[in-house]
Amino acid sequence: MKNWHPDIDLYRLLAALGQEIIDTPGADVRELCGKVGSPLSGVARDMRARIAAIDDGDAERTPALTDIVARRELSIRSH
Amino acid sequence: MQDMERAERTRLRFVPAGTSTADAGDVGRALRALSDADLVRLKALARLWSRGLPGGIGWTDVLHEAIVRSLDGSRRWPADVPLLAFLSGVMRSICDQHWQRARRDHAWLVAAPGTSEAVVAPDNPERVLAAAQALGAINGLFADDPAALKILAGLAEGMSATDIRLHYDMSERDYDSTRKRMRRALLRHGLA
Repeated sequence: MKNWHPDIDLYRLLAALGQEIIDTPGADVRELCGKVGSPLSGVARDMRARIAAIDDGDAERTPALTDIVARRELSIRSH
Repeated sequence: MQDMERAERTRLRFVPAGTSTADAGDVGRALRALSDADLVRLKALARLWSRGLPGGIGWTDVLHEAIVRSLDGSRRWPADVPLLAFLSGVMRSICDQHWQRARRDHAWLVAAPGTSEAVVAPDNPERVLAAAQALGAINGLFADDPAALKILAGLAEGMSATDIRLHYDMSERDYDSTRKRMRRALLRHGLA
């Protein structure tokens, strides 16, 4: 197992599984939502609200995903 | 297939003819026009990509950042790529960047005292461990499905569908029915 790179395996696997999600037929999505007790309309409503909030600028971005490098450099300079 | 057709129509409607990428307004309109099923798929994609991310980053953070980057033009939506595939790629990129940042931050933390430069470890044990844990968690979704585990192993090695079927001696029918179960399991998890 010396040459095993799980991060590369994970990356390839996630890409393939992501495509599986995209390719899932709409009928399967609807049926599954009903089975797990998460109505399609409810999930969609929540997602639409999230997207609208982002599009309207009402939601704040996560600092860790935007300026982690800047904060780190600032911290180093201040020491 | 109805939703895929709608997604295709959406893409064609919002990316003007003769242009190679959509502008922010096109992306915004296309996002708001996504079907209910596409929104469920988008949530499942965000949960998939954000699995195991360090620093307490969750699926909503990754989704938010992907949408912001699409709307502010830092990521351009190519005319020939469906919106969900494009957003999945943006989320993949964001997660990869976050992993890399976490790796560099770790290097700063382990730099020897008195040195002015970071030492980047060739193999970051935390990243490797986190990836192994994430792989284990994905395999755990299919623990009771030996055929799915075979497909997962093949996909992780970058094998094509044909290669996987030949390698594991699976019929086309078995392969397709297993993939269908896998899609459902992924969506079920995405809805949790």
